Amino acid sequence: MTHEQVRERLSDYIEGSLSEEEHGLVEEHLTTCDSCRAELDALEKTLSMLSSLAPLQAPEGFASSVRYKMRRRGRRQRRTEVSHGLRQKVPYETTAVIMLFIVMAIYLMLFIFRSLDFEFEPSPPKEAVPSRPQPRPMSPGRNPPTRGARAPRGPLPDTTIAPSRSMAVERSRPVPSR
Amino acid sequence: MKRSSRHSARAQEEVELVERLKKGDEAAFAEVVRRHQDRIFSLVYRMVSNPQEAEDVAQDVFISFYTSIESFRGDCSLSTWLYRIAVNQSRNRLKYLKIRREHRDSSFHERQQRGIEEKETLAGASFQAHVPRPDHLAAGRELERIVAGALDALPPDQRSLIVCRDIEGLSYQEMVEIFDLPLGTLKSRLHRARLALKDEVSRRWK
Repeated sequence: MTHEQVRERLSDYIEGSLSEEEHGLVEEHLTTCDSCRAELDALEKTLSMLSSLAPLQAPEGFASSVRYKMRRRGRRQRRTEVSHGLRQKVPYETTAVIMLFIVMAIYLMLFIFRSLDFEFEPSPPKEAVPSRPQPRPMSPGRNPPTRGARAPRGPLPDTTIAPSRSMAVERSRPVPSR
Repeated sequence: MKRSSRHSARAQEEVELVERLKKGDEAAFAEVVRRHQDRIFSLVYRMVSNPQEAEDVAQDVFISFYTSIESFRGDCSLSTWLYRIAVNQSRNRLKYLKIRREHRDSSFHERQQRGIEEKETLAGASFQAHVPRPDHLAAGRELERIVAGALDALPPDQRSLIVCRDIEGLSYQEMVEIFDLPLGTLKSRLHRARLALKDEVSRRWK
């Protein structure tokens, strides 16, 4: 056997897995070859170092850390699945159609309420609203209202639109005296 | 006879455990973690040589195991399946760590120094529980330091073969299933890995 052939078989020789014939040939070579013998010794020493390493133990609380990590990942995965599933179930086209229906429904509701004379605050007509609020003539001995103070109630301006019945009722109510 | 009946009882127990796992039984999962946590942590630690990374990877191994239990067909034992996941995840983490290390700004010298100090501390910590005598402790530290350094110098594929066979003591049958290689190829790769490790150890021993 050549040096190379022997060195190729050193692991099997150490483990005792060579055939009887091969084992004999390697042994014969090793008795006469110092370099292959040295190679064998070094390999045996390395393997014995590896096998003498102390067994290790998992750190304390390892099992509970695994459970915690798994739950955390499970929650994250569920969230991802839900959003992904929704995106798959409701494609963009469907979403657009639904949105269109919602807008149309709102518009229709507004139209119906208006036609039924629903109680909306009527905005005063443009010509009836003065461009700037007219200052009330101050009575002698009275201070002008400070900024932010509530303006005193005066007569309502004439409107061209007839007020609704409920508003008329509201206005006809007597103002409680303070 | 006794041996075979014990073996079949264990196989039956494992089948039941798998069934419970497939039903999402958390107690069954806790049982698997309790049984295998030390060996999986040990294997992963020998691969990545860092306690924090090892703990993280070992946790991921069990989570992957649980989430992929549906695909377990029972071709091999649960422990072999766990080892396969552990080897693959450790290799991936090593590749990731290597890329990250290459992108770091710190100098090569600083990295080496830090690595040696870290390994010395770890070696001491892992040996303390098992080797109480001071002279043994010192010898153990030195041994761990040399072996860890030499293992680090090997590529992940070679390292995983040595860790599984020569440190964790797995059988060739288990290794064939874990690495999905023919026995001849596996043995020849393992031999090359051993020779590479021997050269590294010799270099560090001097």
